[in-house]
Amino acid sequence: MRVPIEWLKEFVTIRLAPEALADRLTMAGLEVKALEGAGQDAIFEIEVTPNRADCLSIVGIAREVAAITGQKLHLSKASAPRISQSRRAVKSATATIQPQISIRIDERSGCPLYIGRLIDGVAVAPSPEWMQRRLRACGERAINNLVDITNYVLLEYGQPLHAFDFDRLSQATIIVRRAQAQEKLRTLDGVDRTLTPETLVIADGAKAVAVAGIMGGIGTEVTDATRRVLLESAYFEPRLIRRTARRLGLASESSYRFERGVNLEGVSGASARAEQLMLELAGGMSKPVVVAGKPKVRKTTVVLDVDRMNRWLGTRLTASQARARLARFSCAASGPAKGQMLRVAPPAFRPDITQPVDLYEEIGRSVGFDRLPSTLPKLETRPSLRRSRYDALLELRRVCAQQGLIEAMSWGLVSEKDLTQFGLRREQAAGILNPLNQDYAFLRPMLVIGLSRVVRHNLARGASSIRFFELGSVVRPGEQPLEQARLGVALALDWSRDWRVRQAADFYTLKGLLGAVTARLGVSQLSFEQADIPWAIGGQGSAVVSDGRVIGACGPLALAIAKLLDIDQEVWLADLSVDLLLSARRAQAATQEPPAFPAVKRDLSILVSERISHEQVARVIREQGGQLLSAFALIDRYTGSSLPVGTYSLTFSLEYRQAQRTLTAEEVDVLHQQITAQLEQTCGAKLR
Amino acid sequence: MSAHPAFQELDQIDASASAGIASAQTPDAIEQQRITWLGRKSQLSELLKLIPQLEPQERGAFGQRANEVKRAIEQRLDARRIQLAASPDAPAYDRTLPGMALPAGHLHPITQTMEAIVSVFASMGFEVADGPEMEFEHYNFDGLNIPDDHPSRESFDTFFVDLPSPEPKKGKLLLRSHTSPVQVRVMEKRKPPVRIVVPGRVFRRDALDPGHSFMFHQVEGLLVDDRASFTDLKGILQQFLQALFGPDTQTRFRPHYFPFTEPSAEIDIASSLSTDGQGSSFARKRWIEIMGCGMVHPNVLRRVGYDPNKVQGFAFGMGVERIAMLRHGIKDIRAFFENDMRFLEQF
Repeated sequence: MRVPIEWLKEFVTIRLAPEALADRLTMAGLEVKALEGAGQDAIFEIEVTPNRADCLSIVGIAREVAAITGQKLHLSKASAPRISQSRRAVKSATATIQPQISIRIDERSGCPLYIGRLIDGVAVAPSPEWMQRRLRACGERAINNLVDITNYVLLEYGQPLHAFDFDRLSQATIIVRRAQAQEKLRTLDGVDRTLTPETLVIADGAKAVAVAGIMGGIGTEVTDATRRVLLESAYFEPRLIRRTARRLGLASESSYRFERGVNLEGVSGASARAEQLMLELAGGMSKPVVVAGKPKVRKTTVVLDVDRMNRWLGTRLTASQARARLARFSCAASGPAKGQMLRVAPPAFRPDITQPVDLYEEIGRSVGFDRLPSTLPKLETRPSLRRSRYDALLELRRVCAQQGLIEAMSWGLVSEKDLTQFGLRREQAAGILNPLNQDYAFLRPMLVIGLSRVVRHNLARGASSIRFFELGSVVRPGEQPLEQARLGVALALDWSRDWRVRQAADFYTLKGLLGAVTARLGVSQLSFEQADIPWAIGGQGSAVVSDGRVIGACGPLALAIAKLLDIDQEVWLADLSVDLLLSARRAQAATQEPPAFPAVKRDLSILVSERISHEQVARVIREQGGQLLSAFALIDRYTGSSLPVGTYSLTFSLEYRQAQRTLTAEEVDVLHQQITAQLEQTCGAKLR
Repeated sequence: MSAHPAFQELDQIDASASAGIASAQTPDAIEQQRITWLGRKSQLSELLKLIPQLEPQERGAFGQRANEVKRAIEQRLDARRIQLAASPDAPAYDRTLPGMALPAGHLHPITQTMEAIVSVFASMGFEVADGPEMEFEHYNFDGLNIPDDHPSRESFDTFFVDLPSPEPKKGKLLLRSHTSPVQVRVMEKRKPPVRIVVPGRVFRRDALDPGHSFMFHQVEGLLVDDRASFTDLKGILQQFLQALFGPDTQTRFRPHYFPFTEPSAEIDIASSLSTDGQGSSFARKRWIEIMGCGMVHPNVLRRVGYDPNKVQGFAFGMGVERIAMLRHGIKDIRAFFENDMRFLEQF
């Protein structure tokens, strides 16, 4: 809301410089977002919160300024005398001039009060310069004197008004009713609208002429030819206006105020004020005012318990101090002067005050939040357990980063094209009903979509080592739970490279990483089994298995998808269920003392057929080695033309150890020999 | 009686070895010297084989002398090795060559800032709670005193999800527009006292620009017991902001409006970190809006079955991106989700 200081000064004495007043307003809850101009030309841009509909006007802001600076509000200065003049004008016109207007409200709940005034014989012309200047300062365009007056009074009092060209109404009748199905209306913005029965309209005898409280129709708009004006001032029910405005996608200064609630007691005054300005600035004579509806203004009384308030705010105010604070904000308190209970009657323009807590706020504001002390609560001392899911996820993130991965955070929303590229159907992802645009129209069903885009982004910028992880939730319709946390990993190009060693990011890098991450978490060893993974190159995908349970998938990104994404490098991806990962964690085993007796190390180099896997060889070594084989590791794998066709060689380092004594060379020789013999027998291995 | 000539020979070995070792110029030459003087076929080894031919009374003295010579040679070999290694002519490595490349991992700046925030509250005894990103309308709005058709919903422009609600009583499915729904979820399950902090990801229908993103992160806090007051709220949050932004951080509390708290406030800070010029132009100081807070609205307490005459407390919330941008001098919120390694590797 834009507020020129010179207009404000019509209603309240301001001694503060604009900058100082801006500070005071901000600290009272009317945040001044910007201050334009200086001195008399200063204009405040004030953010009015949705609860303070009463501040959506110059008078409303002036009232607040008066309250926070301890000044009086001078409503009478500008308008009241003129209003009384206008009443005389009404009287003088009553007897002689026809026609009579009839106003009928069919929808009392949506419109409890409608005041119509006819002003006859107006001359449409530009409004005076002073009015145009104020309208412009508030961001309104000057149109003509009649329209400008309705806008002026809206800004001044916060009451939206509408001016109909009376002669363009089909009869001297105003009906407030629901629109008929398919009823048509071209609104002032030139848009043809098809209305529904949920919409409240203003109609003449034949047709809708305005969407109530939101926008008038073009067919009855005031033009240069207008001679008779029907001036509408009414109260429309906030929710109804809000629903309609949302449905029509139509918002106006009027709907903005109606949906926040205008002051029921101000409807009549604003009507009189506008009439008075029209008579002054456009000439003509007024007709008798027609009032339809007899709303009951509900008088709210709120009982304020001063002790409760002090406990809530942390203050130590007495009842009389509280009473004085409230009085500044026009909240009259009655009740026993000594007691702790005050009966408070909020003014009609503050429908937001309905509970004691609303008064606590007024009192807090009046003291000033910054003047309230800062205290520290007396809290029961207890350690923060830090064993939440957040902590588990943070640990997982840290373990990934410790292994050299970089954490990415990609968009939680994807496009239909993304889904199609990854071979998914629309139904496999949850759609957004009201997306911002088609790029972000579905909740991501997998992390690999976003991670692939991250890979592409960095490849395109010349990255030489791509190693990302992401931890985040995905939504998969049809699965339980619908929303689940996943861990994604993406690798491409070199894992590391220096002048001595170059290590490509490949399956073994990924397997090692996942193994290290899960080992740090206490998840038992992973195995990788051939599986059909839709986004991986055919036949090359793997299921990641822990304790016989599939916890995720990995594989090289399918070439068809890579091509669509413009990725020309091999990309290795993994996608694991965080919940399965966390549930596979094992309690930490008791600490083992380092062995007291030395180990005997022997290498073992064998030649086997290509059809024999590492695991087949390893199983024999493990089984034959038994208890005395304390560790073994593959230290070399060689394939090359120097070897017999269809074979490759494996070299293991084996470590033998007895916990209670030193093993003799002879014992080790025997065991080593047994392993070799079994490898020859089972795997057809030849010792090299 | 003169000593056996073998004694003399030992002295010669000692002297020759000394000269030979001193002239060795490389580690290989030293090794050669070791083999020459101490190896299996060395003169000393040959000499030791003569022991049985010595007079019995000479054997002890000879053995002792032979050992002395052996030890002396060993010492000279070691000394020469040390000497050579330290000499400027020793074979060198190039100190200027790069060391081994070790891939360094990085946590996302949002993760780091979030944890910085959470750990301050954890140190004050707050527990960490979380909730789903796809949320029911009930928790996101109604339970927080934000009724349908109320203008306050406007500040939460929300994405609705095109899936049937698994619990129609709790309303439609949406992407939570703040982390506050977790307040309601936790209070529905627990009796006071409740002291939680809730980090999480939220969504709002904001078009992307340097200052806005439809996806961002928040940290929410809630403390409800029988006495936590507005002045306590001020105290706790001032301490938090000083812990996060430094002890010189100044704070101010401005009245504001949130449907779920009353009174509500926004907190501005002024500190050396506030360099983005977002503060109001008229203020002498540059105040930067940093978080929202307030006393939990009695309607919210009532809806979870608490008695607002007996319990009270406060809630607060902040945007993680905004704080991360301030801490690291980042100008464009989109940088967080672009995932450019050149950006991420700085954290």
